[in-house]
Amino acid sequence: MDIDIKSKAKKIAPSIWEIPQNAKKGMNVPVHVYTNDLLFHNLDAGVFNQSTNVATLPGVVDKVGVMPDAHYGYGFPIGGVAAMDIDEGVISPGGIGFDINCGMRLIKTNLTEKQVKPKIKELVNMLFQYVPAGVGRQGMVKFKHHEFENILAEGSKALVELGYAWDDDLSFIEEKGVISGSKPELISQKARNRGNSQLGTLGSGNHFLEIQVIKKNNIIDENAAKAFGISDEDQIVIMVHTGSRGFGHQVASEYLDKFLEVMPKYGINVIDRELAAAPIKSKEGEDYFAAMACAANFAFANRSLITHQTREVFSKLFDDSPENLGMGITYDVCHNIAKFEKHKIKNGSTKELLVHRKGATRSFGPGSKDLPEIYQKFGQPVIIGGSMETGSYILTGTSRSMTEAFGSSAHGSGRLLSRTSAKKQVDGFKLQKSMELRGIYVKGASNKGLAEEAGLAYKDLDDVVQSAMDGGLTNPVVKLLPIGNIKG
Amino acid sequence: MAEFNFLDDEAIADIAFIAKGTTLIELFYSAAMATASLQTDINLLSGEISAQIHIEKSSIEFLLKAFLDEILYFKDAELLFAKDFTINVYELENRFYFEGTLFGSIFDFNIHPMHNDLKAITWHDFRVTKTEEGWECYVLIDI
Repeated sequence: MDIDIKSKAKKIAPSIWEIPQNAKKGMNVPVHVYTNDLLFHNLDAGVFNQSTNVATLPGVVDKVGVMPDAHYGYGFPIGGVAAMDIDEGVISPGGIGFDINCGMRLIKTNLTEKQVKPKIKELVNMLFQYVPAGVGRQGMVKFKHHEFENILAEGSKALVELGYAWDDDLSFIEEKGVISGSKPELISQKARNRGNSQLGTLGSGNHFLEIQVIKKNNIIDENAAKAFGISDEDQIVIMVHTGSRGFGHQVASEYLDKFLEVMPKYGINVIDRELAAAPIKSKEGEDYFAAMACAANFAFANRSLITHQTREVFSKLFDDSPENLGMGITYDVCHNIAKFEKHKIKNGSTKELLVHRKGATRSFGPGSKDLPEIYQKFGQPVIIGGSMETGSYILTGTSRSMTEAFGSSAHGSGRLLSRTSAKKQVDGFKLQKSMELRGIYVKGASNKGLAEEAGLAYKDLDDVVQSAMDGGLTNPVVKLLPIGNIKG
Repeated sequence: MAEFNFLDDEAIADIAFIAKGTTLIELFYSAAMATASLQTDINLLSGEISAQIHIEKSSIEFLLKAFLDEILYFKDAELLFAKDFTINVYELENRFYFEGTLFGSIFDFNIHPMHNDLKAITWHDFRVTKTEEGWECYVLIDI
């Protein structure tokens, strides 16, 4: 059945494939897959099955999008985008993921490779101490009850008030670091217990903090790079990838179970239980959105606290204030989220929709009022994290992505090998040594964790970026190369 | 005696296993031991700390998932890593009940190796089935 669906896809434009609405019984809209020929042929069958399952959800509008880095997930594929009509549509935790508001942040510095490289081991080792990674290492700041409540309600803004983030940071975070509509009173004690010692921690899996360098010949769009503050030869930047930790996982699990129980009441049938959903305008749907917003705010605050700890480390090691070291934020994006956004739809009208992005990044084009003024000419910075061996990209959102994919693009390289396969093929200790010889100093909480994240476990990042460009979703600005990395 | 096997390459970014038991209690024990052994080397845990678990659910699948969720909860909330379990599972008037104890130790990254940080028990193909030999379940864990 899966192979049948793939064979029904037709290429309708460069790097855009359409799976027609009649490919599977019950589909309400077609699916668009944004990949070049190579990535398309290598896409696993599960992506086709899961994306067409998503197309059967009630109230889904225009089309389901599948990003170039897509792979098999649960419920939605990773790299899945679906926008729902607010009156007729549903909200699905499976369209957001367990790690609510997992996302990427890029922090600038005015330091050069020449200044940082001689101290890279010391820097990475210190960051490993200050930014806890892996299991069993708790956050360094203990928040009081009312402070924690405020974090759930106000995200990064709460950390500004507590002195752990800069006021200027907020303009450079998606939604200014706060998803509105949160209701901390809906959060269970279990979610609080899982999360309250994890603020300011990276976690594990593919989460990381990476020191990267900008090389002049890797700057593709000089004007945009300049506006984003990332255009200097040998400039050092820091990329952070993490989310809402155990807090978000608990919220997602609780509501998935709840939705499974209430779906019959609303007459909703889903093909896969991971697509459990409730009407957006139902008590359960509204409660989940409000709880999800708390988890999203937790994640924003988590990345802000990690930024604070990173600034402290740089300040200590380079003997200057973070302000003098130019450690502002280029941008912070969510890639596991559902948000109310206005989009122009196929019938020509502009409508408010609930856009689910699971393993997909918002990619708003030039002129969007949601962007800082200095970015509006270029479009939103889109941060695509690659594997720790290959580097990452900053891109810009496009006008085309607004009409084609509800303003969305890819979020990473996309896994190619399972964790088990990667571990069979790679020895974490040897990988660490070989990366060091190539000028990348990596420190992980476990060798197994390192092996799982080896470059060969991921798709070719250049293919993903090229596909996103050919499909019109994003344009590349600069490629960033790793020189230091900490992992869980 | 716990009976389980991990399924290589079943899920690209996650881990799946099949666990078995001749009775429901044995099945729950096998699934719990599979989950616990994914977290660390359980032989290095002394198991001196215990936590009581009581769950009531509308189906045996909900009950098993909720029990496995508890193992992840104690890992994050109390750094309590499970080593062993006592388990009782029963049905009463169409409701399903779990009564049991988790035995484990506080995780110390200087002593215990970190295998996987388990995020969530998913519903992806989650199933509990009656077989000729007893019971079997399929579980996929998001990591």
